[in-house]
Amino acid sequence: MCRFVGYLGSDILIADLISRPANSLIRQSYKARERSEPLNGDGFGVGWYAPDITREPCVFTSITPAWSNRNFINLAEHTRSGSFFSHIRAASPGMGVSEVNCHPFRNGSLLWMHNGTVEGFQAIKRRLRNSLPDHIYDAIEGTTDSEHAFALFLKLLGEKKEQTSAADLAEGLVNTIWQLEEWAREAEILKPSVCNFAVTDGRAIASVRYVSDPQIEPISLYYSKRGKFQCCEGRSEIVECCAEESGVIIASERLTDKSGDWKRVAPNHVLTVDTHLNVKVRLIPEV
Amino acid sequence: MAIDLVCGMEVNDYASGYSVIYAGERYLFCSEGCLAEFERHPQEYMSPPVSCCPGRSEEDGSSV
Repeated sequence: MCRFVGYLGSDILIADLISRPANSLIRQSYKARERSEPLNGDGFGVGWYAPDITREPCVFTSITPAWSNRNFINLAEHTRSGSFFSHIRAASPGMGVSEVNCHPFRNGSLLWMHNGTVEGFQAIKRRLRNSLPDHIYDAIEGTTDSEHAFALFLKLLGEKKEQTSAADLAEGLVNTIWQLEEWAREAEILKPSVCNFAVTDGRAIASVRYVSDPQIEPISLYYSKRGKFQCCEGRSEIVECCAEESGVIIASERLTDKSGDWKRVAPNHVLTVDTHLNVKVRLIPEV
Repeated sequence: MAIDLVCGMEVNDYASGYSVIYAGERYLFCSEGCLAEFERHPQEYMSPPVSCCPGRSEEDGSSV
């Protein structure tokens, strides 16, 4: 079911979230705390923004487990960014392990990652693909439900893609879920989908914690309190600081042991972090 | 208006169909998902809300 982290704020080392915390993403690749199956070894990826160079993010993916890739750790120890996504993968049955299937996925200035499963994807795949305009269809490189959901999101985002706000990203996520659920109903797919999606344009983040059946507990998703994430002598924490040094983290699992640093995203809600690091959480209305 | 302890949204006292009695108090929720989440982790939501910046609301970003 994968795990991910996303960050928006002042520049920090990618390693501050990937390898240094007590429950870092790399640790979660072999010992995730909040999954019944703790292994997420089917590849990983990191995408980060360097806005002084270009608006488009750089993405590095590999099919090796995150814990054994020295390039990943080395890169994370030498790269600072104010906006990045990183993901470790546990491939769903039938979804091949290849670099093009590793998250985060990129299209223009946008990054996308997914923790979960679009249930019955094969039954709606052709319909989804047929709905796409050529330029989005042609951009699909892999075979996953996650990348196809991203393609659907891009279509529904439409012309806003070049100038997005946090609200636009959130609206696109909600519309994507609604469309997937409509097709699932029409295809008589009874099992619930689990869709923790996250998307960013480098200036804002939107993410959902979603499951089709509200009686089922969705996959975990947290956001941090606003502050400065720091790791000193093996101890990581979020401390209060001035606005210029602040950041907000979204994460499948709490990265630190201090529970007060984190808050669960409510089930079937969409979370946004805007350019000023304001966090909003609102209910995804039922169709 | 009441506050949904799980998501922080305002809930209309009369319109909400999602409520629970916990420790002698009635709590309202915006949705079935929030009610179920509270019932799974009640202690987590009974602790005081975390504020990262004194005088600032984490949910709406506005000064309070």
